[in-house]
Amino acid sequence: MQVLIVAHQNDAVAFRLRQELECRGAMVHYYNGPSAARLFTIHVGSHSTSVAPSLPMFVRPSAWCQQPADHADEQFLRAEAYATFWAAAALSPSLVINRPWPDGSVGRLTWGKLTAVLDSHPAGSDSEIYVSGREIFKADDSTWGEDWEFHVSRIAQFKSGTPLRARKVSPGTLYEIVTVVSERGFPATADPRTVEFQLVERSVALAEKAGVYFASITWAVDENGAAPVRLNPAPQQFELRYNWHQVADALCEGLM
Amino acid sequence: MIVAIGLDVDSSFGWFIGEALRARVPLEVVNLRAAIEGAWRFDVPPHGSAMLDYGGRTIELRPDDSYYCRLIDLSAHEADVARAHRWQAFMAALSAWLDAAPGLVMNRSQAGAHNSSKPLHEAVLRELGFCVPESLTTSDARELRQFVRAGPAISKTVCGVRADTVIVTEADIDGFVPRNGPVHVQRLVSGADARIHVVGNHLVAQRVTSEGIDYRRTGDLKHLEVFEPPAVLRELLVEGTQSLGLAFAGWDFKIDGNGAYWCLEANPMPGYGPYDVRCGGAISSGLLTYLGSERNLTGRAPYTLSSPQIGTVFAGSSTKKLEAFKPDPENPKSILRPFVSQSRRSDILSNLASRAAATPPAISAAAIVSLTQHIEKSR
Repeated sequence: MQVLIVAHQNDAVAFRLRQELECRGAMVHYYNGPSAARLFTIHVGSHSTSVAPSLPMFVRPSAWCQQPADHADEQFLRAEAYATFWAAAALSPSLVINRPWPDGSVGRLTWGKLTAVLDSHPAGSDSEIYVSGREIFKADDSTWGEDWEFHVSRIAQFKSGTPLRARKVSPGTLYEIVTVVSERGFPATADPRTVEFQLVERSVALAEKAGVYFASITWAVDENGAAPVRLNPAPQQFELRYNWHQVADALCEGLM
Repeated sequence: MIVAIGLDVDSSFGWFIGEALRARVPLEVVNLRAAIEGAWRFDVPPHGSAMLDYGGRTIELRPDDSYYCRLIDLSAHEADVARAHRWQAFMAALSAWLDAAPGLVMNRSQAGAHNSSKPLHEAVLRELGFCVPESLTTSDARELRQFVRAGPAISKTVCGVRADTVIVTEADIDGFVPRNGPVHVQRLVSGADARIHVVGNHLVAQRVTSEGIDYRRTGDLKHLEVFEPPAVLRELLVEGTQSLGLAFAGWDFKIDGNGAYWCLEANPMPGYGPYDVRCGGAISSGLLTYLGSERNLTGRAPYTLSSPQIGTVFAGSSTKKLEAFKPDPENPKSILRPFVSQSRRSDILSNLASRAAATPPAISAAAIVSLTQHIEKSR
């Protein structure tokens, strides 16, 4: 069985998955994005489309992390490779984790987009506020923000003029992370509220609605219930460490 | 209220604003590169108006307004990291807000994004029922040679960067190695060219007969004539535009000697000015009517996070090629293939960034029109 992993060479999750697949007897090909793009031939005919080779793929956004291009030609060729890979992964009849769609790949979704696009929160829920800097609105200690380098903090602790996203956080909020692989969900904790609030079932439904096979979903849990605050379609090690073996089993099962 | 959002150095944006002013249609304008310098607030999902403050003005964007958008992100051309982040932050906020706004947004940020991946775009167009010329995207010289040998073929960019379309011969493939790729080649269709703009269910169709491969490069734009496409095609175009989640699209066709229409692309952000000027402003008129009509303010265009997976797909199962493949080193110095050299490409974003760097931002609608007219005259 052959599997194609498309990721940066330093991607820890892809690296560990490669080991898991090889332990199970798979032949793993591991390439970065541009190299992977050059593997494929896509033929669009009058009645059919073909993609060769057709292999199960595990794709990470890190595949496209490279040194900045030092020439316009280099930049152009990278764009050509990206466009080709996008088509190959979208059109491939084999399993692609996570498959990009005609309108693009599913990116990281936070509170506002989860509410707006996936209708995941009850009507009347707070918005997520995107601002050019903390000085734009009056925030209290319960408002937390994230800047564009993913620093998270109370709003008051950001420098003025730093663009950020912010939302209110209830004091005492706890968090649960559920990792979804297809129709299965793996919670990070054994807290009874995970079962009480059906976080596994809700996570699987949310991932399906978002169009992703593999994702970690972070839930904020307080006295009012549970609400999703983030869907990450490219989970990192820290999100997977609680149940890596179960997640790896499920991923290998799908890919093999 | 109609709100136009775009860049003051983008001629197509200036054209739309100029036509709105000429028609005395009330209009709010947002110049992206001025807006990123100022303050903003977007609540997602929209609870009330979004706020922009720049150039001494405060602008309220209401969720049920109608938006004509040419969202162009110049962050990749910003040398200053903080400014690049500001661009990215602003564009992310604006896109998230527009995607969730219930009003008419022409067009939402990701609708028709597959236009930036030609093989995927062509597969989508075929699924919508259009005839598309056969194409091949590959880094394999043998496959390329076979395709070119089988009939006349042209080369296009895979990612949609504008470049001169050229005929590819077997000689062009001599010495081709995978690091020259990937390459997108398409079967040449000879015949007249047609551009059909679709706004809602309103069409403006124009055609031209040109001796060249690309009529835009041979000075034949001035020979465009309005025509009436077949009823079946009209229906397909209106349905196709809606299926792609677009309110406005520019469709390109070749019409062969048998009268068959071969679909080349559906552009989700068409630069329609040169076509509008040759049909008496019918496209602008259609846009302004559609954006201003009350029926459009009540309903929200369906937004989907992702389109359904493409239907019928047949795949080759050969993996021999894979085993023989030598991956690139981590930072390869790729070799540019000869038929899409830099001199044949038109890097629109770089051109816009250069113009922006040379000109202070225009704030008012009249100033934007004046700036874009000046840019057009000096080209």
